[in-house]
Amino acid sequence: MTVDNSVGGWTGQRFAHEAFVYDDEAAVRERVVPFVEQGLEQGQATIVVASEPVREVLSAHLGPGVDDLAVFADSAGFWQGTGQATLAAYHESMRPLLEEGRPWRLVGEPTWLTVPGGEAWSRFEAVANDAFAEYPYYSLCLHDRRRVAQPLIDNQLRTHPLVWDGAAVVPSPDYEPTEQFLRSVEPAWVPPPQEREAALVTDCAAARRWVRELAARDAGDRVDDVLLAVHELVANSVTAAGSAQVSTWAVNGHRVWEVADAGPGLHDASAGYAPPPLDLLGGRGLWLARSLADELLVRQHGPGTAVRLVFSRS
Amino acid sequence: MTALRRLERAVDLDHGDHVAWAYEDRADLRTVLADTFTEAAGRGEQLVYVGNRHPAALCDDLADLDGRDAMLENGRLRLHSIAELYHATGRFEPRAQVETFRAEAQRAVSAGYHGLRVVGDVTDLVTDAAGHAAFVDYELALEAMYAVTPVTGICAFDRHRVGEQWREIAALHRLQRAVGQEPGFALTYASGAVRLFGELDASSAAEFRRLLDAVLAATTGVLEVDLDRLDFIDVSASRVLAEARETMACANRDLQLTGVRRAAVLPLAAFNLHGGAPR
Repeated sequence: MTVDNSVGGWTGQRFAHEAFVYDDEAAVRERVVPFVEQGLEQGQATIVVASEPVREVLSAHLGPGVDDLAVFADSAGFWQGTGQATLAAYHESMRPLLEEGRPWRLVGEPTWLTVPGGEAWSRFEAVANDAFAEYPYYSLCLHDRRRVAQPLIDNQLRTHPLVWDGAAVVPSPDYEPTEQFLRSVEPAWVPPPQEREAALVTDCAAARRWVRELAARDAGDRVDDVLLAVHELVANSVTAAGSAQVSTWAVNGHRVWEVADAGPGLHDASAGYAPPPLDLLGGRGLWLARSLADELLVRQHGPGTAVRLVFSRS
Repeated sequence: MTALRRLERAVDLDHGDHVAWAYEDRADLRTVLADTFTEAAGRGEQLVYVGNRHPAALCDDLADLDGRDAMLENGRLRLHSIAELYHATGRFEPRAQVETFRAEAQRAVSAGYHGLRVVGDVTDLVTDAAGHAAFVDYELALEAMYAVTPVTGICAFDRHRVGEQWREIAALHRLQRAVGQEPGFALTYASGAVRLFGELDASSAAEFRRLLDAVLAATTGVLEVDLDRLDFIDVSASRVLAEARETMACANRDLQLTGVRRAAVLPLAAFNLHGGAPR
């Protein structure tokens, strides 16, 4: 058995997250092939979701051994239209491995960074560091410098704690903590305008009636989406604080809904990005709200929390 | 099937209507009795008032009803005490009681009446903690019987004595009245299927959980949950269904959702709950 240099000091106990930026297929052969071969040699389940050129490199080297991979899929078919749905799909594909409890490896190439809306994927890469921290797997994320613009690659280097220096796995000098990164790429949190409609609500059903009436003006066929998303935030606030301050205003072709409370809620900027836990406990309301809105932002609001949902206007 | 409805007055009721009415005081109860019995008498129905007091006191509750004494005299209006009607065998037997009302309705029709209108002040039955499960069973069976019998019923409760239990009990009725305190949803059970009405959210999830648990405890095999008349469901209420599914799976039972509307798909899917193609 050879010394496994492909995962640095990873012991298979926790999540490791590396960004590997390559210029050609030779670099893929040098970095990715040993990573996969070492994993298979150690009996670790290995998932590959990559571009066609990368999969061709692996097929050529592994030969029939490619059948030993747990997943060998094309990145092009893995994008679910949103970062949240794609992260959930990743999570679902890893569920059997998680339940087995043994360490595994993932080679992921998010080619969808270049599709419309795909640039937001970097936020989910950042959130994965916290959401999957206790998962025993090594995620090697590939980025083809020939196809991915430099600003997008820069974001990947800011969201992956590890990089490859040409010979070994080393800490990324550009890595930023999750909240710091999210705040830098999310839309700015600007003060609400004077012209806004607002209501202090203690009753979820009454709040829904108010929201539905206002949403009917400019939400088009997304009235139900707005209603459910705002409701989930109101329900969280009423449960945590007994009441919620709901405000709404229009800006730049969008409608913003803000739900604020004074309860001991969460101020976690990454809330709602990651898939909900496998058990039946909480966390789904905010996740659902984020999946329905075009944007969701969380900020501390005095002792409590303020959450904004942004929807495009019809 | 009638949708969930909030009432302002105890009128415009038809056969099959099953009302939960939380009254504020005796004056409120007297108004309910006068309103609904006046309407029923005008439609040729027989009238039955059941209360937890002496017959003379029950008669006083009907003071605002025009023609009360004549109707008592000719048998159109009948008064029963709780003890006489519900505890005839010494204990409250839900299914037997439902059969009593079914037979009463059939007798009324045989006697030439258009149907039966019943008002029952069942506050004492609700506040009897030991009989809570039996009372839930009774209301579920009553609702199922009403659907196929020419009877209209109002279950009246003293809001101040019933307290927090009101919302749970009221949710067993599709017509509800308690100013500002309606549960906002209703749950019925018949022929192996639970039907949900109205809106289910975080504020009603606890009552929904208790009622669904009561149905699970009283049934076996597959349970269908029909969401066709449910106007809104959120994550909290979807979690109740997911928990019920887990509980049933442990007993080799299956929970099947039907009538899922498009707006319900996402909160249900958050728990991998699906019910076929959405409406």
